[in-house]
Amino acid sequence: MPCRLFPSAAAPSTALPPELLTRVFTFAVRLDPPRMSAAMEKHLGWIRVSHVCRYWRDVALGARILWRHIDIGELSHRWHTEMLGRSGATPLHITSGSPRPGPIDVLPDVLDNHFFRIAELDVVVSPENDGTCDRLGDIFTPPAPLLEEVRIESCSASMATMITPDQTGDGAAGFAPKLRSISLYDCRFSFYRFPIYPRLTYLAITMNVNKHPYPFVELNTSQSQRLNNFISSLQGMPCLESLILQGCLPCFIAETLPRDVHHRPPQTFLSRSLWPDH
Amino acid sequence: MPTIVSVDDSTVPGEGSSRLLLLVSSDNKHIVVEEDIMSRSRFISKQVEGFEATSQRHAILLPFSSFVLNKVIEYCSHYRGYYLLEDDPDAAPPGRSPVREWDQEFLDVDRNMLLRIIKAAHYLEIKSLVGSCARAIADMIRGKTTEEMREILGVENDFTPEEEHSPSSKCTG
Repeated sequence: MPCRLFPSAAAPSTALPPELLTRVFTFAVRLDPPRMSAAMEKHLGWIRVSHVCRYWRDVALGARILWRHIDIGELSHRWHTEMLGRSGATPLHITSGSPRPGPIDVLPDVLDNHFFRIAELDVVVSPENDGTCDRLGDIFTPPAPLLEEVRIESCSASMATMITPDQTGDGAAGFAPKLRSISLYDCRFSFYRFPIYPRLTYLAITMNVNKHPYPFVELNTSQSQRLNNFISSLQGMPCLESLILQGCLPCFIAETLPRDVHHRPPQTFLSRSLWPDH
Repeated sequence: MPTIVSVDDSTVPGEGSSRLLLLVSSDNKHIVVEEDIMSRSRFISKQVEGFEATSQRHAILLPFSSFVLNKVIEYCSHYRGYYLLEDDPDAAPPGRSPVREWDQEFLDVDRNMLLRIIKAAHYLEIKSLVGSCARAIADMIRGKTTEEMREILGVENDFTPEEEHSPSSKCTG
């Protein structure tokens, strides 16, 4: 009868206590992530450790941190749901970072039911996910107390539109008080209502001006007001070190944007690659 | 709680600038090592603090063989005086690094030895060595089938045939 906790007690050299086995699995998560092959065959990757023996399975299922890295571009919706359940209440790292973005059916469920515990969100919105763009539009609206990093790239013909909370000042800290990095690629963003993130150190908003010559959400808003609000928000972020704005400001704003919008050096990079003035 | 035995000063010369420790392995080999070398071990550091509190020096008995202990000492000697980012391997940047390359060569040992080293490092609370060993083991099972993992690490399949083919025993999806 094998020992449940230490099944290899008969061969003590091979028995690892749960904390060490969890450490091994932690590396396995990074080295061997689940994926779909080019032929759309499912490869469970590191998850196979839970099929080795009862002890390994118990350790793997008991270590919730192992299940928090969820690539929503891989495996099936059932697997995503399973992993969300197994991760318990641990902060989530959600990515669709696979090189070939596909349908991300589980994203609405993640945003609706688990957004409060997302720590990192790295999503590529592909043409198959046009419907998801609208859901992403609300991404900065609900409270995200654990959110630290956001990276959203839109490969879709209809750009994801980021709607920021209609709030500035100290109150915005309540939405995402830990947020320190935002990277948006080909996403429309409301500069007019850009919130203040007190711990933000990195902000990159990049537009492919050839694809999207009119990226603004609020084209009817007065240009000067838009500029003032945006600069005012930037000035309210004392930790901001890197600001990258490419193709997302019209010339008149970019030329006016002061280089000393930050209170604190170093401002490592301020790109003013301009959107042609229309 | 470690077992300790009293030793006299002639056994452990520790009055100089470089203090020495006496480590005793499970096969009763006495190994003298400089305290600085073993400072990467939180376990040893705590033992030394205890010695200073009582003004008595002791040999430290360790529950693993001299072969494993010498391997751990070799690791600690190599990184003597260095701060290792791998003390928190999760924070270490991915990719190649001189530390990782040396560790890979150092840990190019058979399975049983690797498992003994990680357990010794865990006992001695040497985080960086635990992390390197764990990574090495994860590398061994990367991309392997379940059966191959069992063979590589000598693990017995204790699932019943029914469990093995049951969705609840494995995973759904």
